[in-house]
Amino acid sequence: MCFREKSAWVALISTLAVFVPYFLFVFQKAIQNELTRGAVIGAFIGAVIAQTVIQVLVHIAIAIASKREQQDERDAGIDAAAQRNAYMVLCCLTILAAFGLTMMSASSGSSRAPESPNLVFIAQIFYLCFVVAELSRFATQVIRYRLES
Amino acid sequence: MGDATEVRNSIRELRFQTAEMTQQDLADRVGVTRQTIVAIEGRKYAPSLELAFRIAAVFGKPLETVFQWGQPR
Repeated sequence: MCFREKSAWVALISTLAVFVPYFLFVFQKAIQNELTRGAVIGAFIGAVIAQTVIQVLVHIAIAIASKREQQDERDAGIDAAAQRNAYMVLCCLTILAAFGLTMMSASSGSSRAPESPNLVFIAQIFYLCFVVAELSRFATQVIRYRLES
Repeated sequence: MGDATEVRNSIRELRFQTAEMTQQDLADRVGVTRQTIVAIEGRKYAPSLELAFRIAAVFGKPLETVFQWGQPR
């Protein structure tokens, strides 16, 4: 397994390991109607720091254990395909999120009604779109490397 | 899984005819990773024209001796 494939596996697994519990926590708070800035900000910062630390440490370990290779044309092609997929996923999810949030606001009668999705919830929905797009990028890389090995 | 590309090649045979050159040696000489050579040999990846020329140049053979397109006759 080459360095870049290992790197894609690390990114995929660490993103799942950190952000699945994070979004479960966020949506649990949303269901309980306790989704406030104070409730989310600590978990948000913690999740970002945790993922960064995990990725840096594991990448250092991989770099020590295996030969660090320059990106070649096949790696560039795989990266490009992964970016395309991620962009498509991000576009689709963003449109769905915008539509869904608009419908939630409309069903509560007024965009200023208390039942309308609050800014924290909206921010988390769009952050979820970004994280899912990133997951699709890492998954595409892993699948392509596996299929071509 | 079947072949992912219709670009066939004789790299494996040519490596053995060239002092049993390893995949890593060839990869280093053409500037790609060993996994890319593995993918090309296994017909999982079709190289760019430039890379194909570089590989052919390593063996000192014309491009069409190293790479062929289409199903075997």
